[in-house]
Amino acid sequence: MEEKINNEIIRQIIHIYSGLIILALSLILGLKLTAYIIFIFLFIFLLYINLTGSNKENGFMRLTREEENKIFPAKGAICYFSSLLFLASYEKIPFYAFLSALLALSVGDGFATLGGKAFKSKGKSLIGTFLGFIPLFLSYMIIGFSPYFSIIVAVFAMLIERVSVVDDNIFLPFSVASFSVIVSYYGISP
Amino acid sequence: MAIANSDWLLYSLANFIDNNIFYITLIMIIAYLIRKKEGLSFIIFSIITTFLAKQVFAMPRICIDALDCPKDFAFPSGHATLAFSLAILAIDKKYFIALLLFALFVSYTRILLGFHTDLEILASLAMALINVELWWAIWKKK
Repeated sequence: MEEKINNEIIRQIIHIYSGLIILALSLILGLKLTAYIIFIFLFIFLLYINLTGSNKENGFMRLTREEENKIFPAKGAICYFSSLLFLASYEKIPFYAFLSALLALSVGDGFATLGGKAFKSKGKSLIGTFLGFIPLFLSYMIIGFSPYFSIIVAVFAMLIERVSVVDDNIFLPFSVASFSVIVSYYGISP
Repeated sequence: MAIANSDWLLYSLANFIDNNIFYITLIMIIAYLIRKKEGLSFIIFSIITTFLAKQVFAMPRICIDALDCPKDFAFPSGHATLAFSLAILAIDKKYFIALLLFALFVSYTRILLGFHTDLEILASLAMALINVELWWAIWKKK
């Protein structure tokens, strides 16, 4: 049981850091090169899954959720990088929409889960959602979004995180990216 | 001369793959051989979602002025998505790498024919992987 909790914490730390690495890459190299890097990473990751299978004794696979592996090995990680790859590959996506989706997925979702775990909650909890909102709002402010835009998108992201119908690693970034475009269209600029 | 021959072969294969009826039939047969009914339903699901994604993202083709340019939207590449979907079906099989290489080859032919940009191809891998989650959400309810 304790190992399961530890694994969840490690998983969420990787979740947050991966997002921050992609954030740095996209700011330094731009979206196109970032998309290439995620593609190559996913490609190698698929090969790794194929070679190791769902064998829990092997490195990264030890950290994956067993119930998810029945659907697809390391499903959470795959969904995470796939949605970011998809968004980064879409040439028409405004950069702020990609950034808001990326931070909602890595910082918002990651801290919400960690917060929930800190308060011994099994599923999605209100306290977890609140603890996800604060770092997400702050991260939006740090990268230079306007306060209005930051608060509206962060609230939306945390609401979506609670009601996800499919894996939040897919639902969250697509919803947040679309919402941030709509918000900006209605005059609240990022 | 040898180079010309290899070009001819490459373009013939690319045009062969470009034939939708032939290509979809081939993919469906292989999917059925890999995972029977599940494989077939996953490929059909992928065709539907890719078609829908093309309508939603409405990205025009780079070859829009060419005579032989496909008439539908470009993002993500349908051919590449199906090829990657096929590889994903075999994620736990020994021939997975062969199918992944096939997907890369199909992707290359789409760029070679000038129908897709590299980014549209990159999105196809993501689309195929996202389809796994979406398909499962529907399939498990049956």
